[in-house]
Amino acid sequence: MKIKTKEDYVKSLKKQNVLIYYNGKKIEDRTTFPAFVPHINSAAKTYELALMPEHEDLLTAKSNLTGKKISRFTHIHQSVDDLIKKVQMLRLVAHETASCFQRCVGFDAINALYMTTYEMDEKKGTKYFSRFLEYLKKLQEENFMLVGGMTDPKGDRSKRPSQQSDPDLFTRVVEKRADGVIIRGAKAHQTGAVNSHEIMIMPTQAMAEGDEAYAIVAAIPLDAKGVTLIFGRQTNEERKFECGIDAGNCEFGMVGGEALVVFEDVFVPWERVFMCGEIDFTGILVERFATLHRQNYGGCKGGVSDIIIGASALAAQYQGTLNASHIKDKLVEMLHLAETVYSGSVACSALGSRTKSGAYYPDPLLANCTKHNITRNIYEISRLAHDIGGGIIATLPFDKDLRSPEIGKYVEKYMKGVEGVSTETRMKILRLLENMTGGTALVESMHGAGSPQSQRIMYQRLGKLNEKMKMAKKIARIKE
Amino acid sequence: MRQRKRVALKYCGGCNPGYDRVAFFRRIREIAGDSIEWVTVEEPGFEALLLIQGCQTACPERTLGCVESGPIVSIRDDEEDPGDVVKRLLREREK
Repeated sequence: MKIKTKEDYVKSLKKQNVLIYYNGKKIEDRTTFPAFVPHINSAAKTYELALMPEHEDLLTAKSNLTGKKISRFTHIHQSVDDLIKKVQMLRLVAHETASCFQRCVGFDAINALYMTTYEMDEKKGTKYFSRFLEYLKKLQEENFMLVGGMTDPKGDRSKRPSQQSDPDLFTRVVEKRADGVIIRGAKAHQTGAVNSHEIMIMPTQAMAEGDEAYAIVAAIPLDAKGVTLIFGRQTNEERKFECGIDAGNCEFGMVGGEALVVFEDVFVPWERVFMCGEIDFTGILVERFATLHRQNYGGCKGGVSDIIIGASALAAQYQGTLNASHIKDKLVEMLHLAETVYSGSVACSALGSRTKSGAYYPDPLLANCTKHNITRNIYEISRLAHDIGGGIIATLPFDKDLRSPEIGKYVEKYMKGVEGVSTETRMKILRLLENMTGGTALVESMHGAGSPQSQRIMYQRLGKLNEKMKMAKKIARIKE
Repeated sequence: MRQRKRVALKYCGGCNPGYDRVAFFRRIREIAGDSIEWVTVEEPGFEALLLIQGCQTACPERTLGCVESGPIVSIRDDEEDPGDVVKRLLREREK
C-alpha cells in the first residue's frame, strides 16, 4: 500500500475492514457512506495538493531518515523553516476545504514521539526510538493516515486513572505477554478516525505512581480485532445526505469527523509499542503533543476564517450592504482577528528550537497563546459573520422550497437580494456561513487541542511571573 | 537555429497568494512558446530559474539560496508584464 492519489487513498480505506457505527447502525462501506465522504474528501486534499507543482513546496518534504520526498504530514521537523511551512500548509489546505482535514493529529503525534522516545532511550536504555524509527519509515513510505489518539474519556475528573471506579475510563494495558500487550479502554473525539488507517494511542495526561498501566503508547491498525468506532453526531449532519444547498459545504466536512474509538482487549505486538509503563515521560509527551497541536490552530483556523470572511463579504454584497461603513469595519475586524491567530502560529514556529533528537519544536508558551486566542477569536469572527449575514442565516427556507413547483416562486422572489445575483447564489453563501459558524464547528474551536483551562495552566507554568516581578522591582528601584 | 533555453519553474507553496500563480505562469508560457523548455529544479542543467511566488515574503528565495547559472527571475505579484518576464528569462547571462 503506497498512497499517492485520492484514488489510492480511497482504495486503501476500502481494503480495511473497520468496524464503524453511525446512529446505531454498522456501516458496511465507509468510503461511500454519505456522512463520511465529506471527511474523506477533506483528508484526500492532503494527497491531491502534494501532487500539484504549485503546492508541493508546502505539502512535501525531504525525509531525514531516507532522503526521499515524502508527504509533509509524515515528516519530522528539521528546522524552523519546517515549522513555519507546517503552518503555511495548514492555511492552504483550509482554503481548499473550509474544514478540518484531520491529518495534523497524526503528524503531531509522530513529532512528539520522535523527540520523547529518543530521550526515553537516552535516560532509561530502552529501545523505543529505534523501534519507532522503523514504524516511521513505514509511515513515510506508505503515506497512510494516522490518528493521533490522546484524549481518554476520563470519567471522574477529580480522580487519577488508577483511582477510577471503572479502570477502563483511561486506556490501559490489561496484560503484558511475551509477544505484545493487550489494550483496553477508549479514545474520545478522535479526529479523522473513520477515514484513517491506524491510530497512535498516547497517554492523556501526566501519570503518577500507580498509573503505570496507563503509560502506554502504541500504533494500532483500525481494523485490528477488538477496535470499534462510534461516529459523533454533528450539527445538521443529515443535510450531508441531501448534498444540496442546505449542506452549506457539501463536498467537505464541517469539522474533523470525530469518533469514539473503543479498544476491547486489543492485541498489539511489541514492535508497535513505544512506551509501556514509563510514567516519568508521560508529562513531557503530553506537553509536546499539545504544543505541536496548538501550534497548528492559527494555520488551519486562520485559513477557515479566510473563507468565513470571504463568505461574509459576499453575503453583504448580495444584499447590497457591502459598502456600508459599519460592514466594512466589521470585515476589517474579522481580518484583524484571523491574521492575529495566524501570527501566533508563525511566531511560535519562528521561535522554535532544536531538541536533543534533532527534531524542531515550537515555542510552547506562544503555541499555547495561539490556541487560547482561537477559543475566543473564532467565536468573535463567527459573531461578526452572523451580524453581517443577518437573521436570514437562521430562517432561510429549505433548498427543496426553492425547487418546489408550488412555492419555489415565492422563495425566488422574496429571498432575492441585489440585481444580477440569483436567489440560489445568495442562499448558497448564507448556508455556507451557517455551516461554518455554528454548533459543532464552534465547539471544536473551543476544545480541539485542549480546553482553554489547559492553556491557562501552561501560562502559569511558562509565563515567568517571578521574572516579571523582578523586572517591575528593578524599574521601581525596589531593593527588598 | 538557436536551441530552446532550459528554464526551471519553481512555485512557492501558495499558503495565501495574492494572485492566481498558475494562471500567471500560463500567460508566461504562452508568450514564451517554443523559446523555452520548462523543467523542474530537480532536473540538472537548467540555464535560468523562474520563481513564481504568491506574496512579498517570497519563501523560495530564502530557501533556494542560489542556482548554478543563469538569471533568477523572481515574481511576487502579477504586476509585471509576462512578456517582460520572458525577455528577462531569455537574456544571456550578464558577465
